[in-house]
Amino acid sequence: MSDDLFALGKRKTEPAPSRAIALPYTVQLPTRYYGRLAVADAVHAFAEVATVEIAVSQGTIAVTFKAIDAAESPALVVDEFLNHALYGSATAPPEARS
Amino acid sequence: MRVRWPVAVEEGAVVVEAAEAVYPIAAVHGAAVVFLDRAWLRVHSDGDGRARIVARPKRAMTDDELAAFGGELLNELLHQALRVDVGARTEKLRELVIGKAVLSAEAAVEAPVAFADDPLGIAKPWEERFQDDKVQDEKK
Repeated sequence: MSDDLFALGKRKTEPAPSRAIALPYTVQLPTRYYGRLAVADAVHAFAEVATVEIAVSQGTIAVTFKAIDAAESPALVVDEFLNHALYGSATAPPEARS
Repeated sequence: MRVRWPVAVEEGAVVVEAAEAVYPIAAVHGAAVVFLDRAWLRVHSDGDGRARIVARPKRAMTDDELAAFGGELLNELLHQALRVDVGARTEKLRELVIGKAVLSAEAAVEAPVAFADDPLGIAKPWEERFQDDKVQDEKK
């Protein structure tokens, strides 16, 4: 059996290449989709690996990653943080999304 | 960058544009939750009435696979929007059905049937219930 034929039955699961980000790194999140409490909860959850500051202004939550202390790439931590915040926002009751 | 609106592929990520008037917040959130285990998601909104969902798959993908992934996300958005719409339209009906079920359960609690009452005659022994039939059979 050739390697090519064998590879047909195997799904490629190699991780996506990581990208580089420079710290401090700021992400603007719209309050329409991200809840302030959910973002604050994500900051608390990631406190051991990242130093994050949030600032709420008109319609946006500015999330600034000051430092990231992780074996993985900083971009991966940022991506996981944003997934966590989005999940928290999506599953929060409507009254807690302010 | 390869664009086939509303799905655009760029640098290992796919961007899906959705009109906020068509896709409510709950639909965007619902679609996001479905895809969270397969991609890193970010939602942008510049106040122009359009939400941009940036999905960066967790496994490496070719541009074609990314475009297909974006199509899946778009389909899920539509599915979630329909779910929200149907949920809103059937809200009154659901409230009615649940209300009726709760009311009937409360009525049953207010007028409980004691075991000794046996309105259906379940507790009656078989011999007693069919005694008359047996006597008639013996006479025959």
